[in-house]
Amino acid sequence: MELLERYLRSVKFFLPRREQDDILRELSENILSQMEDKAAELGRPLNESEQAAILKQHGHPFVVASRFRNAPVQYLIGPVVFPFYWFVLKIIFWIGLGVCALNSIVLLSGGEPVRQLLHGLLAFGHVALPVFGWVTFLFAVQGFFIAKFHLVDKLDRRWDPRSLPAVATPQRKARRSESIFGLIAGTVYIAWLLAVPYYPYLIFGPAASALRLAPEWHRFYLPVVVLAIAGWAQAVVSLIRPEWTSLPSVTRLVSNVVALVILRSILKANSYVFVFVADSPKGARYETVAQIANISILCTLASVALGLSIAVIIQAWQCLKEIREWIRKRGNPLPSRIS
Amino acid sequence: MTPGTNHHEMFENLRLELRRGSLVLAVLAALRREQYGYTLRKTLEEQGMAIDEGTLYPLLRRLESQGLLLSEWREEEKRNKRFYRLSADGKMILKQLLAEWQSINSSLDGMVKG
Repeated sequence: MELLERYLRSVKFFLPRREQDDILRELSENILSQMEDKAAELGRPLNESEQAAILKQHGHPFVVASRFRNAPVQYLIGPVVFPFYWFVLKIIFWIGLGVCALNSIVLLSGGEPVRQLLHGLLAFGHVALPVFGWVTFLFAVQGFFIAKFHLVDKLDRRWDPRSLPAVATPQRKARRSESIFGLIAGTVYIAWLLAVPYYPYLIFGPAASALRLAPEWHRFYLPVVVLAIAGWAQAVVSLIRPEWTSLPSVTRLVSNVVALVILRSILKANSYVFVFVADSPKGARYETVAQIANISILCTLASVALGLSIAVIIQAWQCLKEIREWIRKRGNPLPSRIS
Repeated sequence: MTPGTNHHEMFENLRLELRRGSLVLAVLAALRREQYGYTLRKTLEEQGMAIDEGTLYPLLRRLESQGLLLSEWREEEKRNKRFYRLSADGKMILKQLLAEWQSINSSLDGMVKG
């Protein structure tokens, strides 16, 4: 019966300490009775394979022991808390990823090597895992107290249907005209952005023969094009899926935050345009124009940065409201009208 | 997975669910006569209510901790065994559960035949 002893010892390892001996004694008796019955039926002692078959029928020691556990909490995150836990994890994941992506864009616009960008993205894992761990720990503690003090039962007894949230207003859809306008404007803007490096006239007009953009702009060219494409893609999605009303708010918020990060770097530049024919008489004439253009661009960029900052605050507030609305809808999944 | 397998699996799951609901009733009814774990399992199997060991033994302990069963270690055939029987509370609960089961049975009968 060496196999049986090994089996019981394995089961014991997973059993609650207080009941180990009692459970094992009973389990051992029942298995022995079963083995004796089988031996009597065969008219000979059981061989190892036959004993193993009976033990296998009882189940893996871990599974057998788990069925004897009667503790009120047998899981880390209970079913009641799990949807909130999952929601918080997802929010943290996307915010963390967004911050990491922003950081990468700043590094890219600062001319840092690609290796450093990859290093920055990998750092996300190092930061995210401990954060996930702490969130899990906090939810586990919360779940433990909810189970220990039967808080769900208490809530179930006390709740009042009149305290349920009001019926949601019919879902707003993105205006088709707005999406079409966004699409056309986005297409023109992207075409203009892509053409500017080859046709300076598109920026400077007749002064293009003497003025050029400062080299600092080249570092920000790619992120600006990416932003424009993202805005265009959002207009396409809004046109195809007008019911995805949260998308424009989220993408606008993200685009504006990215634009602010880029603007912050651009504002540090010393000049924005320069006269590339400075040695000629024509160049001397355009020096004043370049100075005026530099001051105008600085003022414009500062105004845009201020406007974007206000927009980001408003859009962040809007996004928070939409998240709250989404949580409320999840808590009240019934249709607004029951027919 | 073929539709046939899917259907079979679904039926198996529903069947197990249906039987699981009546296991406590079967165990309480069988323990009107004192028995120990292994013989109880055999009795249930003979009566067409087969239940695997991994479910039965923890269930017996749970019913005892709820006060529906009483247990006693006693020597039989030169070995100590734990015998279970219904407690006074267990008898009362069994009576109520049987009445409930008969009511469900007749309701279902009415629905199926009607």
